Amino acid sequence: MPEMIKKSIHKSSRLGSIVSSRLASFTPLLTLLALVVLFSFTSEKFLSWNNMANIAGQISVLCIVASGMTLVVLMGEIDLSVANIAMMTGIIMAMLYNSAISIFAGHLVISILAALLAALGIGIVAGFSVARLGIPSFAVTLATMQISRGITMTVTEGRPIYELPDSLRAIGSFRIGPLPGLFVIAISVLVLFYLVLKYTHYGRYIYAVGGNRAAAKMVGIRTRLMTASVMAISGLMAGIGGVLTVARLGSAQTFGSEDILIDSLAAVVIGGTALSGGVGGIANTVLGVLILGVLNNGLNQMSSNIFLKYLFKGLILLAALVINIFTGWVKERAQMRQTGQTCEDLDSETSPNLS
Amino acid sequence: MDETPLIEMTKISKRFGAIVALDNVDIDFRRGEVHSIVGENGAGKSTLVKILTGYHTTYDGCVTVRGQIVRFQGPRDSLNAGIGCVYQERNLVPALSVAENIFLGRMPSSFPGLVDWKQVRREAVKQLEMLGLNFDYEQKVEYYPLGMRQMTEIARIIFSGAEVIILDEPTSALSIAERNRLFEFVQRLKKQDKCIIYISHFLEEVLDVSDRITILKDGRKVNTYACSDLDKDTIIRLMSRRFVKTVEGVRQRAVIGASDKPVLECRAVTVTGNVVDASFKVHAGEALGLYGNVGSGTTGLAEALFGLRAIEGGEVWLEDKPLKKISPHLASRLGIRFIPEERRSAIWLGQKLSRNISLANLQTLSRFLIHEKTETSAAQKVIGVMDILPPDPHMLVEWFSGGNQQKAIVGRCLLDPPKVLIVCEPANGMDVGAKAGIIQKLWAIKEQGVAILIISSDPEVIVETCDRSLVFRRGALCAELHGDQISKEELVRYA
Repeated sequence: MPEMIKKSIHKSSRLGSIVSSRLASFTPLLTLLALVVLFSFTSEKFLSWNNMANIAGQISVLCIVASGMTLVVLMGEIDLSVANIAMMTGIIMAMLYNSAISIFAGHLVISILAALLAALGIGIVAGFSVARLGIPSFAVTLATMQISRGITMTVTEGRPIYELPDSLRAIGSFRIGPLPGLFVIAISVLVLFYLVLKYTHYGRYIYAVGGNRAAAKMVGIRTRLMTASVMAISGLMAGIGGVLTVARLGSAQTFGSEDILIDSLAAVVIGGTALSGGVGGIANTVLGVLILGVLNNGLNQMSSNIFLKYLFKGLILLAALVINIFTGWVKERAQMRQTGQTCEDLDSETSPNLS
Repeated sequence: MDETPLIEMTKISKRFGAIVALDNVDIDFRRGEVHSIVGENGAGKSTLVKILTGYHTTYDGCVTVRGQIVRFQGPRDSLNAGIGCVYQERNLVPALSVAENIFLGRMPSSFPGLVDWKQVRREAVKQLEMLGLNFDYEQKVEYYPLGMRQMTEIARIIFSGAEVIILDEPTSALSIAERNRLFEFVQRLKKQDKCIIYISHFLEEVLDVSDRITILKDGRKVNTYACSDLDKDTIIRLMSRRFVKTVEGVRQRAVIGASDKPVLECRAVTVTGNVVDASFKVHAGEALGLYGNVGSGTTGLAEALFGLRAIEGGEVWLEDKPLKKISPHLASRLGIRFIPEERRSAIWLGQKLSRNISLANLQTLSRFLIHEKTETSAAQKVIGVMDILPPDPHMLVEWFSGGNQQKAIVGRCLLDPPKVLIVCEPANGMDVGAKAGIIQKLWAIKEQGVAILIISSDPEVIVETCDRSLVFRRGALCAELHGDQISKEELVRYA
């Protein structure tokens, strides 16, 4: 290929990937800013410290569940069971605490740990089914979603549990300075996940498996173990989210947390993590969570129709998905051009050698 | 019989950038003949086929079909002109019956939207009878062996009106019996005045089945011969391009005596669908070639040695331990490295070169946390050893040329010196310079005492890199060549 053409291709494809990466990282930021500006006009209270702290409290659980979801999506998988695992964990914890079994009865910490173990267990089952049996994650987690829902409803017969110790409620209501304690916990989890993804082998492998499973396998990464472990972590994080929800509400509910599924998935995608895996991360998820938090809070403040928020969330999610696909497409084109593989050129690369 | 050729291609040239794939090729295809095209890899066979099937739309020269000048704008045009190409079972729907597959896309109907099954049956029986195929048209295709599926596909193409049937390496995955049945079928088609264009690496088969043979070399036509004028050795002589070694290395088979312990040993290894009872040894500091055409099973064997496929029989020994349940993870931990045929399943697009290099070595670079500095310096080491250009560890991997990407892939396997390096098609898709670069590096690696397994269907690569070469044919090890015995002609003859 003549040098000139090569150079120009170089340039255009560089531009392509720069545009795509910038688009992916700036759109969520701009969306967030636009929403903040919009709501600061529609409601006077919106920008107050009080309301900010309010938002922080509202998004805490979402942050935790979305952290797990981020890993799952980075691997190119999906977890539809998080909301039901969360509710199940809360219920199991409350049941055990109130049960007659002596090791659990009245022991909050042990009850919490046992409930989290159940959440982790569901995640492991899902992970094993995806990794070992090769069932698509969306199908498996559809099943585990029903299973955890079934456990919740069977053991409670649909009734919420209110008999909980004050120490648990304290977790939900303590404050560190002006910040809700839950938010501090959420931040710690986000920071932990951020560090894991950025600095550990495990994090790097997640990106590698999500980015190119075959290549990861070729260098000896245990891709199945990675998939299974990530699904398990997602289950665990959902469980932690469930326990904290109970702490926040002061009761273990059998309904009402369903939104956390769509919200956590939306937060990851709106933040710009690619559904196809390998691109994105915690920083993206933080943006996504903030967008959703501001949107929920702002729309509630506008006190128009509270159900409007579903419509808005849906529209923003759709827009994010479109951008998600579009940036992936631009990037692919750029990479193809770089390696000289457009449709006809694809032949040109292979045919002289495979003739 | 009509003497004007069915297809005539005159002065066909096709270039890809600086590479000339076809240079002024004249060729014609007649009714009622089997016309084979033979040549080495890169001689231009598939480019020619792709022009005929409408995949390449830009070329110089002129194609006439039944006396009319045509210029196909896509595969559909070519099909409409009565040219069909059979890719192995690729276009069949396994869960549908033979009849349904034959009628796929053109189901007869008596009422819009409804299928006229009676007519499907009647037509299918008629069609299959005409072609002399006596199989159950109601049976699902997936229950048939590969050979019969292939014939179903040919039947389908003929039913869609094709008079020219291109068979591109049709026998590489067939058993001997299936192959013979296919050849009988081809003879029947010939009697029905169809034109068969036959492309194969198996020269005996070509000599068996053809009426005329066109030999291509380096994109040029050597000539078209009547089959009776040729024999295998003549074909090999005529199609072999003069080959100058780009790298001179000293073969060191003399060093290895019978008493030397092998690093890797296969004892009667069977990988279903690939190789049967393959036994061989590789020693430290030796490059062993596994040569075979597409379908010979060598790639499958290599993949099995790295745990990417299951080994059904036999044993693999690494030094003095048998390997049980090989997985890629276990294999790499024990010092086996694998470089796949397709570069895209080895590189991590959208990431820096340094990350692509460190990915294979995170465990050795640090215990738990990733240090960007060690990562970069490891990458720099690989860049230095492999002469990767430009020497920038932070550039995205897709901005490097194919040759440099390949160097990085090879280089990253060496940071933690391996015992065995398995390389599939090391020089695939590379120009002469890049190829020489890689081959030189393979020599250097070997000198460090690594046992190298080189899997290739390109005899030149084997000749240039290997101390010893095994030749595989249809999954069976059929020859072992040592040192100077390894020549292009010998390899091609045995394969």
